[in-house]
Amino acid sequence: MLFEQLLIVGIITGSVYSLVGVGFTLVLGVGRVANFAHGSFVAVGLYLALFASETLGLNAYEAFVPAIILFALIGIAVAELFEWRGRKVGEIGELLIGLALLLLIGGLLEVLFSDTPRTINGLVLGHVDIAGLTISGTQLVAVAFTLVTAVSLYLFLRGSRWGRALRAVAENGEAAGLYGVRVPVARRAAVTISIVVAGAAGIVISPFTVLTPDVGSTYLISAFAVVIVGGIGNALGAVLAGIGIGIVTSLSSGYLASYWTSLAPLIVILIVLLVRPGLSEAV
Amino acid sequence: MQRLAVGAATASLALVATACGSSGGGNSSGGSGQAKTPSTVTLGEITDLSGVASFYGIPENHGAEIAVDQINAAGGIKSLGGSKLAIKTFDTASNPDNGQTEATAAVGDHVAAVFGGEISDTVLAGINVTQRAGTPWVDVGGTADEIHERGYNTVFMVDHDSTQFASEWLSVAQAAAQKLGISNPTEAIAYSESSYGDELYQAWNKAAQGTGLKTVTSFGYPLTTTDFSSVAARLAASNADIILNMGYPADGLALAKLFATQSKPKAKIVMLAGSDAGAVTGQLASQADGALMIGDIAPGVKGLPASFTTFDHDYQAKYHSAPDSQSMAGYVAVRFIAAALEKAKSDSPSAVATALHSVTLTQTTGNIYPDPTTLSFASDGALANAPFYAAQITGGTGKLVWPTDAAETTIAAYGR
Repeated sequence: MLFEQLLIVGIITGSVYSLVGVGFTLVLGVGRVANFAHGSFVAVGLYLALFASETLGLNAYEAFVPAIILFALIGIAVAELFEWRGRKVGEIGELLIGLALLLLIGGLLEVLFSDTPRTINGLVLGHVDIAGLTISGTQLVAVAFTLVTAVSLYLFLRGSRWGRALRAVAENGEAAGLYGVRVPVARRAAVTISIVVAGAAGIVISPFTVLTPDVGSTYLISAFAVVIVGGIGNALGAVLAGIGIGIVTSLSSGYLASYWTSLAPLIVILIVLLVRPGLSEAV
Repeated sequence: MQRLAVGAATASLALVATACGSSGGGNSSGGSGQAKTPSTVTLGEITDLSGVASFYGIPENHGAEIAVDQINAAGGIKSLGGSKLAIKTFDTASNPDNGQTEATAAVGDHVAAVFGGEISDTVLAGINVTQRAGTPWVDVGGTADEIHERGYNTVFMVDHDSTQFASEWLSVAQAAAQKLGISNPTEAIAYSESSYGDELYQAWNKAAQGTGLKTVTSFGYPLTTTDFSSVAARLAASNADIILNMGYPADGLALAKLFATQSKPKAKIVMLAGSDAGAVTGQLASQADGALMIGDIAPGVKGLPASFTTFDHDYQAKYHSAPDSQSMAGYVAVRFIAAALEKAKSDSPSAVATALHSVTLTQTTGNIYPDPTTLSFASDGALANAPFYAAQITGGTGKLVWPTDAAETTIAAYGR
C-alpha cells in the first residue's frame, strides 16, 4: 500500500516539477537565458493566489485569468530587461539580472507577506480515494494543467508559424535571422511565455502548497533537474522528466534514509548525463 | 619639523591612551571608586529577525520590548539609580553562520548582556565569542543540550532544552495513551535532520527506554524539505498508535494539512512537537483538529498570575496580536537580566553573568508563567524547571491539555 501511495504522491509532486520545468526549458532553449528568477515567478503566483483569497475573496481559479494577464505584462517587462542588459554586457549581464530578480522577489514577498509559512484553505473541488490516499480535485487539476500546457506548447512549437520561428532561433539564431526571423522578438516571446507558465503554475498549485517567500529557490533547482533530464527546449521531455524525478524523490524518501532522498534525483541526473551527454533537443 | 612630528605623535598616543582608558566593559562609567550610574543600559538581542526563523524571532523581540517598557515605566534599574534599559538588535537572518559575527558585533558594542536566538546552531556559534568576552548570553529559543553542556559559565537558557522537551512530550504521549486506553503503544517518528531535530530524537529515545513504547518506523528528513507528501504517507502507512514529528513550524503546518486532506492516518495520537498551536490554527483552523502541539498561554488559563494578564494586555495594545511561547520567553529573558542588573548593582557584563547564577523570578518579579511559580537557573545555566505547555487543536482552537493542573480540556483521540 505504501508503494502505491508514494507512487501517486510522486506523480503529483512530479507534475508540479514538470509544470515549472516546461517554462524553464523554453526560456533556456529559445531565449538562451538561464533565468535564475524562474522559480521566483512560481512563488509570485502562489502569493498572488494568497492575496486574492485573503483580500479579494477570490479562489485560485477565479483569480487565474487576471493573474495570467498580469504575468504576461511582467513577462514582457522582464524580457525587455534581459534583452537590454544582454545587448550591453552579454550573457553574464543576463545571469546577474536573473540573480537580482531572485533576491528582489524573495525579499519583496518577505516584506509584504512576512516569513510565516502560509496555506490557502477552502478550495478542494472534491476528492478521490486511491490506495488509501485522498487526492483532492485541485491536485488532479494541477496534473491535468501540466499535461495540457505541455501538449499545447509542443503543438504550438511544432505546428504554428510562430513556433517554427522559435525553433529556428533555438537551433541557430544567426541563421534564423538571415531568413527573416526577428530573433530578439522570438527571445522576448520565449521569456514572456515562460514567466506566464511559471506564474500560472503557482496559481494552480496554491491550494495544496505551503507558501514561504524562499520557495522559488526550491522550484528553480527542480526546474534545472527537469531540464537536464528532459533536454533543453523539450516540453514533453520536461513532463516525463518532472514526473520521473518526482517518483524517484517520493520513493526514496519513503523507503530510504534521508541522505538518499537528496541524492537519488542527483544520481538520476548523473546517469542521464552519462548516457546522453548532449543536453539540447530539437524544440 | 622632526620635533613637531614627534610632538604630534606623542599627543596622539596620549589621546589614544585616554580613549582606551575610558572604554571599559558595558556602558558603565564606573568600576570601583567613583562609580557613575549609566543613564541607559544597552542589552544586545541576537536573534532571527528575518528569514525562516523570524517566525519565532520577531515575537521574541516583541516580548522583550514589553519587558523593557514595563521596567522603564517602573523607574528602570533602581540599584543603578534608575538606569533605563534599551535593546540593540543584531539580526542573524536565520543563518547560523551569522551567530559568530553578530556576537562579535554585540561584544564590540559593549552591551551589558546578550539574549535571544531561535536556532541552536546560531547560539552555539555565538556563545564561543561571548564566553571569551565574559558577556552573559541568555538563550531564548535554542534548545540543544549542548548549549549549556559546554560548561560555559556565562550561558543561560530560558526555554527548555532537548532533554526537558523530550521528557515533557513523552509524558504527554503516555498520558494520552492511558486516557485513550492504548496499552503498549506503537510510534512512528519523523524528525528534521538538524541539531535541533537530531538532539530531540536522541533525547526522546533515551527518555522512552523502558516505557513500553515500540517504534515501528523512525526516519529523518532533510532540513530543506518543502514537500512533505511522502513523509506524511510514510508516517500514515506505519499504522502506529502515535505519530510524532520533531520538526520546525513549517513542517508541522504542512503535515497537519496533509494528514487532514490526503494521508488521513489511523493513529490515535498525533504530536507535532515543534509547531505552535496558535500559529497552525491561524492557518488551518479545524483542519488541524486533534493534533497535539506546543500550547500558547492565553487569558482564561487556570492559575495565571496577574503579571501575565498585564503582559498580555501591554503586548496586545502595542502589537495588536496575541503573544506566543517565544514572546513569553523573550520577556522572561529580559526580566532575568534586569534582576541580575539589580543584584549586581553594575552593568559590567561579568558582574551581570555572576548575578544571573543566583537570581530568581517570582510571579511578582517577572515570571509570567502559571507553572512553575518561580524560575531560576541550574548550576549549568539551564532553566531548573522549564515551563512546558501542550495543546490539542479542538474546533480550530488550541486548548491546553498539559500540564494537567492548567488543562482546559482532556486529550481526545486524533481524527475522531
